[in-house]
Amino acid sequence: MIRKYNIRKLAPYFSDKIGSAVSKITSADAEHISEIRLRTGRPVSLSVCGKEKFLTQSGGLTECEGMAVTANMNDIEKSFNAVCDYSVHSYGREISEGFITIEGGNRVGICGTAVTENNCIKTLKYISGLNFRISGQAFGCADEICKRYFNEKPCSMLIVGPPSSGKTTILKDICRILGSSYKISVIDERGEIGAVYHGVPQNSVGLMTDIFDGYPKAYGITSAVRVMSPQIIVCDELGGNDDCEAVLNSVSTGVKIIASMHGFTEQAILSNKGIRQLAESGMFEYAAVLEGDTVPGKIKYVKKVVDVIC
Amino acid sequence: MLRLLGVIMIFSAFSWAGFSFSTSIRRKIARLETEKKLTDDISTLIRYRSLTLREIISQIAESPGYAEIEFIEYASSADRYIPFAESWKSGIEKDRTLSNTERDILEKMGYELGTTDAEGQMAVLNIYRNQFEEMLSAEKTKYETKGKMYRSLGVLFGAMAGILFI
Repeated sequence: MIRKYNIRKLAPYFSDKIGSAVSKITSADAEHISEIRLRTGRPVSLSVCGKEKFLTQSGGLTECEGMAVTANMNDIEKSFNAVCDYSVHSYGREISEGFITIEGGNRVGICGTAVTENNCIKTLKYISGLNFRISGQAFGCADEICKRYFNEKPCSMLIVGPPSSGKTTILKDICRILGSSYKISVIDERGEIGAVYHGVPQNSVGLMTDIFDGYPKAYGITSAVRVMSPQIIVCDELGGNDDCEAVLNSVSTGVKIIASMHGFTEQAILSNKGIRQLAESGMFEYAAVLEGDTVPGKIKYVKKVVDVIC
Repeated sequence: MLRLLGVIMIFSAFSWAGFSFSTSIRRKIARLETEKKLTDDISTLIRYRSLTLREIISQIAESPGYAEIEFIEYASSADRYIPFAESWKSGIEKDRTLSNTERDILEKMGYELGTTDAEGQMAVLNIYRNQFEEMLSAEKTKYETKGKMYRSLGVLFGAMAGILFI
């Protein structure tokens, strides 16, 4: 079951013109919309079941751009300020990373001209586009895996899948289910698992789950082990050398790790130096491989990691 | 007997007027000190806690040190989707205790708050802090020179009017 955010609640984040159109979108259409995009001088577009459509002033969807509401610079500035809670100074990190999580766990991607310093993006100027990605949480996609592998005691698991295969979706559901039985610490570097907004997770992440929001993975893992004494640590997209080292260091504490990684098959474990090292040290017990982008959030099979490295 | 009562009343009225002028300067000094402190507190909450303006204003509104600054209460109770500068401005418009100069400075400050990164905000707040500081030292000098004068003149005119009345 996919629980989606009510898109019409986003209306206050837009200028009057666009907000009024958004608030008129019908419930039937709203269910299928996954993104609202504003681009300077161009029509407001919506991603509807993977196809691009335009928004009309009356809240309808059209393929004819002439009938659509057009976003100008002021509309984008108003939305940008609203997304920042009229406090640009509080969102410096998020702006330089290119996205801000807002109420309901919705995520707003920001596009503009980069201001760089020492090869890093310091901030953005001339915001030219915003992409409101509507949040949703798939309930129950990890039911089976949790029943089978985490029923008696926690274990460490790698979730392997290609882009858009639902790795984060699975992790969210694992947190939700296991969070009622185990103490979990989520290292949510990109804010995708908990979607924390003003300190409150917008996704259902379980009763005993602590979220280290915005922490770099390596630092978050070390901190979590030190201060929260978790039974399980959950993190997204493991792979960096620092991350793997932090995971290795946590082995001695007995904490279990559930992490996702890019890859089409379990063989991906062998091609990543850090993950391979973790696997060889016996850190991970199982690798769950996802079906792919055709059926996001579906597990194809689960293998013992020891069989993969042999 | 009635004449004596009249003399006392005239004397009291003039003296009260003198003290009232003097007190109004003192009150303005206290308000300017709070406004200067406001820029410092906003600055600290931005620098060390990275709070949003809404969070900062609600925290400040709850602080007893700001109980006499009415516009903060108005600004903090505004709808969260209303742009901050608008709710700040409407709070200032509703506050009858502010002088026109304070109003101008605070309104301009409201338009600049939240529009830049933390470093920019520090610089902006420092400018407004200095403006309050200048006003404050001018009012303090005024109080030292004129405050005593208002009080003395009040008593003196009261006594004179009383004598004339007799």
